[in-house]
Amino acid sequence: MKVKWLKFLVIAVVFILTVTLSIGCKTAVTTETTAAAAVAETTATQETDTSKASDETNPASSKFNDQELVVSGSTTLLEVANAWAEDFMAKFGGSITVNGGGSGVGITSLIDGTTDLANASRPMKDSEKQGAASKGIDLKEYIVLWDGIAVIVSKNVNVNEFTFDQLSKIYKGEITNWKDVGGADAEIIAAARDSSSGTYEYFLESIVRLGNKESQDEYSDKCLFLQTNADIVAQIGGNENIIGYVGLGYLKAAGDTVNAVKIKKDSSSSAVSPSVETVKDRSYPISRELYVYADGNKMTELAQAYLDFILSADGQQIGIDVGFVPVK
Amino acid sequence: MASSKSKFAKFKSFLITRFVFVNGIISIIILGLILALLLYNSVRFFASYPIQNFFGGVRWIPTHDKFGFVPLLVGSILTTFAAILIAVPLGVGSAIYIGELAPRYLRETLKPIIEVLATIPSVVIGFIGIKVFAPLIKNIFNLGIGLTALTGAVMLAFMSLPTIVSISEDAINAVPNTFRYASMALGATKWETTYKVVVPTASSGIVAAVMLGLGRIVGETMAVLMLTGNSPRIVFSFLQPVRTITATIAAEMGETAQGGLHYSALFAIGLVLFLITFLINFVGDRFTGRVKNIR
Amino acid sequence: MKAAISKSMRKKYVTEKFFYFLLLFITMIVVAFVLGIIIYLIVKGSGAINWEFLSQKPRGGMKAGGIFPAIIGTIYLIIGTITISLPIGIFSAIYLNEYAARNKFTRIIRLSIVNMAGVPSVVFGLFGLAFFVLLLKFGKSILAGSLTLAFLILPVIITATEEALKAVPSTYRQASMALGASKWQTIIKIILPQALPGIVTGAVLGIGRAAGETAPIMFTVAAFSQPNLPHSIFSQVMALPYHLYALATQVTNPPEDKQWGTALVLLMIVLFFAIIGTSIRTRARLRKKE
Repeated sequence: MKVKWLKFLVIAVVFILTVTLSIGCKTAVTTETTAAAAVAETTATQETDTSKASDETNPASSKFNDQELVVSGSTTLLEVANAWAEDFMAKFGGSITVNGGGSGVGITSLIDGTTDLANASRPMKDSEKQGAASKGIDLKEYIVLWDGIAVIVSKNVNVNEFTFDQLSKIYKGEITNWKDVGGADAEIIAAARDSSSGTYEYFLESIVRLGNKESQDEYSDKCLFLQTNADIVAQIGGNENIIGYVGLGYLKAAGDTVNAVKIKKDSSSSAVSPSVETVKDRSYPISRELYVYADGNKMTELAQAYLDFILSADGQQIGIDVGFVPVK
Repeated sequence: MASSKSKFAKFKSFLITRFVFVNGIISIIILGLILALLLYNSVRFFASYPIQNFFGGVRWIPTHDKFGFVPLLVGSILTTFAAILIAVPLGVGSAIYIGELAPRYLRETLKPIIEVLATIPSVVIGFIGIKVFAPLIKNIFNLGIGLTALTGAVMLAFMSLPTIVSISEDAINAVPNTFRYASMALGATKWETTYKVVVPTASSGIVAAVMLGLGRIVGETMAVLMLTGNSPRIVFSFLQPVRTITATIAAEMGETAQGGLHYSALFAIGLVLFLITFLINFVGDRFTGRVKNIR
Repeated sequence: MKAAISKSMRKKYVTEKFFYFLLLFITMIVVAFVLGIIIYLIVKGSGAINWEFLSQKPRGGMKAGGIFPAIIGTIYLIIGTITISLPIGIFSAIYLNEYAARNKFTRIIRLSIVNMAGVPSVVFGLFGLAFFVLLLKFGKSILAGSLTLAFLILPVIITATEEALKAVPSTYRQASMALGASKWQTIIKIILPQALPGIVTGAVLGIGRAAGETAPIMFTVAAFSQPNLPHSIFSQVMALPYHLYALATQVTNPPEDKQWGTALVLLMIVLFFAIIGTSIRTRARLRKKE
């Protein structure tokens, strides 16, 4: 009887060892035989340009191989940050961890020292700057991309343009039916981002409160508060009569699952649809800078190289590919 | 020589006893640490935020330092109530069938199948909920969006079933066969025996099962975070989006600076959640204790 | 008179049949739900699963490639969790069964184990964040995540181990002691080997639970994206449950098959441990009856 159990244990141990060993081998293979890996990667890749990346891997990869970098924050920047990290690691090596959580989370983590770089879709608040200063952080701010906030609606909604005032009333719960803004007779479901999001704050200040600093207006508590841009796209694409807002980058990814509407500041100005061009020439009225924050006292070689990379032509091109607008 | 050896052995056994003791009380230590951290941060929260504004507040807007607990409580109560309404008939019904009526071979297959449900991760249940049940609920009730209290509640109900079925069935099994023979000898049918003798005898165990299922429902996080739409407002309809206590913690946990008001507010609602589940489980355990006495 | 009796008997018979059918129907709903979820996941997810999916890093903003780092991350967490909680759990059970006196203090310990099992997993997450990540300054790391999960599954391991220890006949203890073995020698050489199946069951069931939890790891270890292997126990890793959550809510329109594939892999890992655990337990119980 005892023998039987020993047998089971031996099998279990062998199984675990095999798994661990195969992992070990895998690492060895990926780090040592780069040429073979490069070939394998190229054949396995269909749409991304890893082939180009792998060619450049060999000389530079050793430099950052032992270094780690943690990037956290804005979910608006999440996908582009992920793309940056992917491309950077393919070209220069290093190990980059990307976390979401929201602009608030990123900035908090930077202040607490649990992240190296903070992505933010809004500038830091004064209170946050004080917090950072009190912890001895030498704050560095980088404007990495421009972004427009696109207002999107479900495919069945036949409203093509909104004024700031209409949007404000919809989100404050004062307009609740599509027929009041020129649509069919149906209830409006307003989807907002949750409160850790920089997009939430930006939209609150510039649209719901119409840029009035004194205003105490709030989102109606009837709004859906969704965790991410992706969630908003998914819900608007999958349902009817919903309105929501997402970063411009998500408009491209959403494809034709949602309708983007034109925006005008007031009834006298002309309506502009969100696009890279209109954000670039600043004619689209809801646009903003996107930031990365760093602690100058703890800036590693890898962090500096990553920042240089995202501000380089290559990095900015990745931003354009995802759907944002370059800084320059 | 011999005495020093025995001294050493004594010392060794003393060390071992201490070591084992420390391990033995680890659960008290951890539970104490959890409670201490929750209490510490809650006290700090209430020091700067009036307690009546917390328990009486009707709006939860962390960015503007409004921490009204009522919408979250209503959200949790609403989903829990709907879930338990679905779970009790399903759970107790199947427990009676499996424990009392099903033939032996069926029982040996059914029980493990239901227990498998307990092992499915809640994020998988939430995922299935988003992909399958939310559209279903939306179409059935002709809603704008499928993320409602009911959607979360249906999934929660199923997640609590393994607990409810398993413990209820144990309680039904614990009813001595002599009770059944006596009832049948008096001319009662099998069904009459079941609902007039067996179920009442096992009732305290069934109550315990429901309480422990309730504990599971109240504490469940991922499925409600993904399925209930997260609007922190006070509604009294199952077909509206709500936000529960657990979802609020999960969604906002890493949001503000350590020591900030929002951070400590989340510990305050964590403390309330901890106390609620503690109470529910305590009551549940009291009832299971009585089941053991029947045996 | 006779007719009246048979009529009432008939009515009873019909009611009985009706309730039998109703209860069977209810049970079938529950069973259908369970099997439905598993079968649906297999049908939708098996198309995505191939060697590339299991062995490649995610690429193209998680829209291509595989889930290798998430699988590895989950394995690291499982190893970390079990290394911490198994010894603590076993010694805790040994204390309760072999050393503790039957007094109020022991009852408090037992009560706290039961209540620990009832603490919502999100509260463990809160605890892990406040204690391991921030107070002890482990940061978001494998160490912090493993510790949080370890304490989450501790009650499972303690309960299973204690049950197994109880089942060892006390004659074994007496015989061993009579031969001059010390208490500790008896425990290590006689009782633990006998209790091994029960301990393995607890460990395996605990692993299954730990592998599937999301809320406790969300703020203590899980990364949205970290395709490389961790450098140390202070690194963040991706993990399957969190990766599924991220795919379902944080990535814009990821391919459906990647999501279902991830869900299926997670389910399979968890079910694998659950089935092993329960089959060991069933076999041990059957043997005890013999």
